[in-house]
Amino acid sequence: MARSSRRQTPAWAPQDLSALRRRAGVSGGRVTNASAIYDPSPGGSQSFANRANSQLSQRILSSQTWNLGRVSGATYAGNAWELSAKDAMSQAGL
Amino acid sequence: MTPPRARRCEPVMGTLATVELHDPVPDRRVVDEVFSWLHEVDQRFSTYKVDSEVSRLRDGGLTLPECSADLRLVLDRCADLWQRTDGYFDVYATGQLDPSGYVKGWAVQVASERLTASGAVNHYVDAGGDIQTRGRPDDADEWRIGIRHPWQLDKVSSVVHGTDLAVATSGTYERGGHVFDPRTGRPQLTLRSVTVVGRDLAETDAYATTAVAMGSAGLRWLAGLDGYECAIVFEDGRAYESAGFRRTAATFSTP
Repeated sequence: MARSSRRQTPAWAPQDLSALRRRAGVSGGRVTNASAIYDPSPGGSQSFANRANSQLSQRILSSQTWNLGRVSGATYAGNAWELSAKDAMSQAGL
Repeated sequence: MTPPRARRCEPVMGTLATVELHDPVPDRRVVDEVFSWLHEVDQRFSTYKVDSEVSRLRDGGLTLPECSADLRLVLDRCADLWQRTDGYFDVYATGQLDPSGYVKGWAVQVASERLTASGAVNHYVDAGGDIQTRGRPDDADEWRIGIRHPWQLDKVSSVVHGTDLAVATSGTYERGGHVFDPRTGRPQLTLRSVTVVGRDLAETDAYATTAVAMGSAGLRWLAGLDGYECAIVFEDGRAYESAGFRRTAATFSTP
């Protein structure tokens, strides 16, 4: 299970510090959160903010092909014909 | 990928819905019941249909006490979300009553609950990219759900996996700026894609919409939520993930 999920997970490049350094702070060889980009959290407390900072990290956006169906995305709008065609194509693996 | 034992895909609620059953001997009638429910929700809650219950409440043809228990429940949940999101989840963000940001996720979650109650405990329900799964695709596998890349729409940017997952993505790349910042009354365009993973879709989906409405402040707000994982892509290409986003199995599996 773990093996197959690693295979399907794309290789991020978190080691690519040169790319990240331009985007985020680096401290002691570790990429720190780019907290400067955050707006003040609406109504957020300091402990909440600390938790948030420890939970989030910046990533390089990567892409991979995916033909297994089951995709989460922003809801598309279209007429019924287009949607049916889209499903027919996905069923046919196109 | 484990193929479903029964699958149906159909346009509803202005998008495409898919139901998959993965139990050994699925009862296909429960799939019909799910689609009946989704079409019923469309009729009753659509803001585009002038005779829907929501439209009549909005236009003053109905009073709140005259509304169905379902609609009052939805409005109660929306009011609760409004309080918990500092006003950013706002059914009046456009100036008119529009609970659509809650209805789809809620309708899919209810459909999923009905499937479980009917004995179809291993299933996948998807309405326009907002997904509720229960159980597993088969005994030896977990659900694997791709997250659409917000520029390369035929590709995915990551994959989440686990059992009993709800996965919701909200963003601007399909329908443009349709989520409004209630503070400005204008579409919020800062975040191109926000994905939230949780256990139950109604809340999970509402949180994704909330973050889009908040703009860059949504990043920190999402990361502070217990029990949810998130991935955010800014319009300028910056991408962020919570620590457990790709390890959702550990977070959401039922023991």
